[in-house]
Amino acid sequence: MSELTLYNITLERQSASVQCCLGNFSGTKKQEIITASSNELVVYRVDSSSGSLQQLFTFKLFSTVRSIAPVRIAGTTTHYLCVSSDSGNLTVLSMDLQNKRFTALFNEPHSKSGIRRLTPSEITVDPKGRAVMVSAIEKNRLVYVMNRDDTGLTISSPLEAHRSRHLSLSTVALDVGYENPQFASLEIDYSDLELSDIDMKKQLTFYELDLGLNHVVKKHSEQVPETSNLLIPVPGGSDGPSGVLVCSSNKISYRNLYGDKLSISIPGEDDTVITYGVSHKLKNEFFFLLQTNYGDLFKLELLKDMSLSISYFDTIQLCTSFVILKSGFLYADAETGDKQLFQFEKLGGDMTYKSTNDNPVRTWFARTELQNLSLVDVVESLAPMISSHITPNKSSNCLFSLNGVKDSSTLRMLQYGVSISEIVEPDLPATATRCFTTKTDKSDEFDKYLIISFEDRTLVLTIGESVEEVTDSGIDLSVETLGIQQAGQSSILQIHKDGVNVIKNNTIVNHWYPPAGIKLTALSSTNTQLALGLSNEDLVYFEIDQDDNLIEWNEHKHMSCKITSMSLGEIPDGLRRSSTLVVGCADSTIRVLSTDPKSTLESISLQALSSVPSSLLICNMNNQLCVHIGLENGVYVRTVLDVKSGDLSSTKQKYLGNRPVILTKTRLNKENVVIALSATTWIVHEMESFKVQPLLIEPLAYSTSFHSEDCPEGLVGVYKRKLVICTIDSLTQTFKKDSLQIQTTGKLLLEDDKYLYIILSGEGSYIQKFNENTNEIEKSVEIPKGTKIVTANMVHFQSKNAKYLVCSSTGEENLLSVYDLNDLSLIHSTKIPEQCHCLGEFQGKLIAGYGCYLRLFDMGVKQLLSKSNTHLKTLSSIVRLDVQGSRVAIGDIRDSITLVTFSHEMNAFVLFVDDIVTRHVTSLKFLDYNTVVGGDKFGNVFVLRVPESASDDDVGYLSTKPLSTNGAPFKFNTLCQFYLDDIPMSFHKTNFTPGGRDIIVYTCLLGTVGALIPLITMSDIKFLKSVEKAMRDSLELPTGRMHLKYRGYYAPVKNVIDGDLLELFDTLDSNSQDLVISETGRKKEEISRRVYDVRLGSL
Amino acid sequence: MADKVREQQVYNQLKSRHIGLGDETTTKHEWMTNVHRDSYASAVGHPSMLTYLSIAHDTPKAVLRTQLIEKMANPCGSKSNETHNE
Repeated sequence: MSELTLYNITLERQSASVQCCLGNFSGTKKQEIITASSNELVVYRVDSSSGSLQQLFTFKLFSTVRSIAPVRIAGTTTHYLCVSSDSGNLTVLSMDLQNKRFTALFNEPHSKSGIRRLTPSEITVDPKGRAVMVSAIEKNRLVYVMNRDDTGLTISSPLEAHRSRHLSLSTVALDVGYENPQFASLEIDYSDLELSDIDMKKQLTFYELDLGLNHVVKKHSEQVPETSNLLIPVPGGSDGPSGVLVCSSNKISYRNLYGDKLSISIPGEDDTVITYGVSHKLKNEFFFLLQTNYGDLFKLELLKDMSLSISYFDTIQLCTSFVILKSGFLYADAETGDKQLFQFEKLGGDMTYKSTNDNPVRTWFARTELQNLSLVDVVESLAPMISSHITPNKSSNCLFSLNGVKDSSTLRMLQYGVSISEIVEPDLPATATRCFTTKTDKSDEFDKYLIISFEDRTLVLTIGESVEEVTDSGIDLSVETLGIQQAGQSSILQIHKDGVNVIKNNTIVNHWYPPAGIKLTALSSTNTQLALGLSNEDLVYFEIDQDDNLIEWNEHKHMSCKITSMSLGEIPDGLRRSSTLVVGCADSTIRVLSTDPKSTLESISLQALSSVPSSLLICNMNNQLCVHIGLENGVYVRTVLDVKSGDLSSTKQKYLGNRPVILTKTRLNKENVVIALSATTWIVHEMESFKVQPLLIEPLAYSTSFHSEDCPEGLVGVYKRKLVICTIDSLTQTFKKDSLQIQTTGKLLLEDDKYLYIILSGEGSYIQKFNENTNEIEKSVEIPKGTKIVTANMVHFQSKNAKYLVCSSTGEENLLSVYDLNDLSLIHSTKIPEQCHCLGEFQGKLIAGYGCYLRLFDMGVKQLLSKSNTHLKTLSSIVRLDVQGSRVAIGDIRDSITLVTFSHEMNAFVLFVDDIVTRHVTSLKFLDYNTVVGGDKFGNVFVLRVPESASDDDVGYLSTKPLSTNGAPFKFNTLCQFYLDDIPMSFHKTNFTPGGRDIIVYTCLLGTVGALIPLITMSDIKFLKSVEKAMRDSLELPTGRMHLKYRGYYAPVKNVIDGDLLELFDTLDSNSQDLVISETGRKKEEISRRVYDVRLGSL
Repeated sequence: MADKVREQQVYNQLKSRHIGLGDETTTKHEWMTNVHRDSYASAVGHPSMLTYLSIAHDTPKAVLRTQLIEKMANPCGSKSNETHNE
């Protein structure tokens, strides 16, 4: 049987978060915010001077997080993070900021793995850090006693506080100072409900942990309103009266163990509930900030005279949780759309509404613009990512997506690559060939001149407050400059093809000319060295002495081959010269020469390459001396150089484009990065790990670094008749993201010609036409109120030889409406019996799936004309379809994917192949005629293939075949199966970079964008599988989850290698690396190279 | 006889510890109730599924979570209803 092995890489991490929390995790006085998405932790810190949110690092967990909480033992300074996940453990993590990771202090097993009813998941921590309660949705509740000893934190075995036949909605730890820790829980007792029809009752139950007896007791239980949904603890001890706020529909009441009761109503609509709230302590008082389901924030105060007061604060995005920082910021972890950081302007308190009795009166309030908060920073979030589309019109790496719901909805354009911020882009008088920047004196901090060379001349500009042309720099303007180097103390070397000029104090003080008729072919220079390659295959080497004199090495080294490129590298700190010279020759080799005074120009080593090296660059990266090689065939190679032996090792390579590669160096965040120029521009860096990413800039002919006062780490480049000066944005982003606000929840994206059709269906349904070139919405049509668009598609009707937009809508009637593509005018509508969830084009007709029917329509004058109708008895409800030739893949809400094939004789679809597993399909796509990739609602991605024995060549015969197990005559082979921990919403088959192979790109609901790369060679598959196995065996994942079980949550993983896990290899400590190395029996270098080869080959 | 009583006792004990355990006397109602509770708990517990449902129902996640847990209390009606239906 033919197999398919895929390699999964997450390109954009999940951006929806489960919860956020605040603490001093690094042990310093600075507060860190940790947000947990379902499979990753992200650590932020707020820079209070600039009011910006800095992402410190992200950390993959490989398990589904359910709840996080900070814990700090009283008297210590460091917070630890408690995590409950699907591992069945209570995990306590400690943050290691230096190594950018979390380490598990404890993994206390308490139940089976997986997300179950009885798995304790909701964590609440005693404010003094003495105990942690973890409660399940039903029955189970465990208390762990925390303590500290000489070695650090200790944790007890769990104490049970189970309550059978009780559901728990919310559990909190009360603030009781140093008395025995107490917890309160909002519970539903269902024991009586099963016996007779009575209304559900909710109780507030108090638990106490007796630290002396090491025992948890149920203290007290009382009835609360049946709409109660949330508990919020009230500060206690010396700060307040302790107790708990019980939030219910329209009402908040205060309760404590002594029987005090106070209530206040929440201003606003009738179904207002509090979804989240925190208390914040000031010096002598405290207040609560509560958010309602409408996003309104209210400030609630519990006054000294034991009355409650409430006032409207502001309205922000609805949050999963929010935290208030000591420095006066509010981090709002929005449920949908971007996460926001606010600064407190004032603390509200106007228009306070007070209540002292038990019969509160409802009031109204007016929502206003932000008054108490001001927005200072946002973190982009793609969640929820409802649909996406890759457009073939733009460069192949552009992905459009619909994100957010209702008023947070956006259309986003994601471009694969690193974005730049352009500063200026002036025109040039001719096509420039090169550009250089230089300072004039060794002690200069910034560049003084910007030199642009053309084929027959040179232009010199000064860099300062303005950029102006100068003619008195001393640089010869009548030749094409090949290189500029600030040399010695205060000289400049100008290298052109006929020689070298030494310039001092704006005049040429010295020349060097090659022998008559000989030209320069390659050069490299440092502050004290200059190496030139001549057309007679000689290499000339110079050094610059203290008095800035150019001193020629007494003999030319004959290379017996044309020199195409060379690089001297950087001068290490404290030394006078760089001790190696790498020379590239036309016989496809590079040679490492010594420039040490004792052994000048002696060969150290020689390495053969696959093509002629067009450009060489030695520079330090990640504390290794790397030789970057650009080849004439468009391949970029990076190797690590051993200075002593001249050995080149750890080779990584990537095809960049169909032009010889030119390499230049620049600096970013005080690190070296390499700009590689070919048919497109690329950036090579090792910020987190070794990466070669496209730089989203025009294909440059040449580039160089740019340091000025205003722009300390810039980049300058030339292309055609343009000069561009820009800065490079963050290297941690995989995509450049642009967004456009849209009216309401997006549904889907369609494309025709240069237009993108956006279907919106939220509060009102719209069809919009978006011009991809101008990035503007040109036309928007609202469909009548009370009708909602369910789905839409572009159909080319053969009978009319024209393309139309067909929308399926629901409301009073279920309709299929046909729209004109130009002006989006409604042509006609056709009634259908049920809601149609998927539309497509099938052989020049419209195919619609509704219920368990597949119907073909042709375009008529007044309505759509039904041409064929098939009842597929084995299905429940068709939700997705994709067409390939005469085959249609149908995704069902229950029965996975079914393949049907069309019979012209019978004018109906015939069941062909179906799946043996039941799945709720959310997306599917044909990969080829026999293979379908699909995703389901539970977060799985799977690939199915038609068995080789099955054939639909003779449809007539197929229709007579007996159905097997109440389904199609043939069953799919499952080729691949993988759990993503996010719901796949769209699949695309595309190549992301020029020269890259076709890969599957998926986008998921919570904002994950990932790629599934098909592995081609058997040796790669075997190798990567063995490394994956070794990593699984030797790596203890932070929450104690087994990787194999995690990726096989619903069904065992099949033929998918988890690249996210493999790429962790480089970040492991040496002990863990050794384990992997010894288990696989491979070298460290080989593992790290081959793991990256997969990524570099396709991305 | 005593063995059988003991067996029953052990079984009852296990049943109270491991909710969802069934035997030949498990009624359809009991079984359905269990399946529904498990499903609701799973929807509440998986962040992606809760988001999916919250968008489909146009309800904030926190509100939907409460609603789903409330539904777990009595997902298939009381036992008395079942006998009526049969």
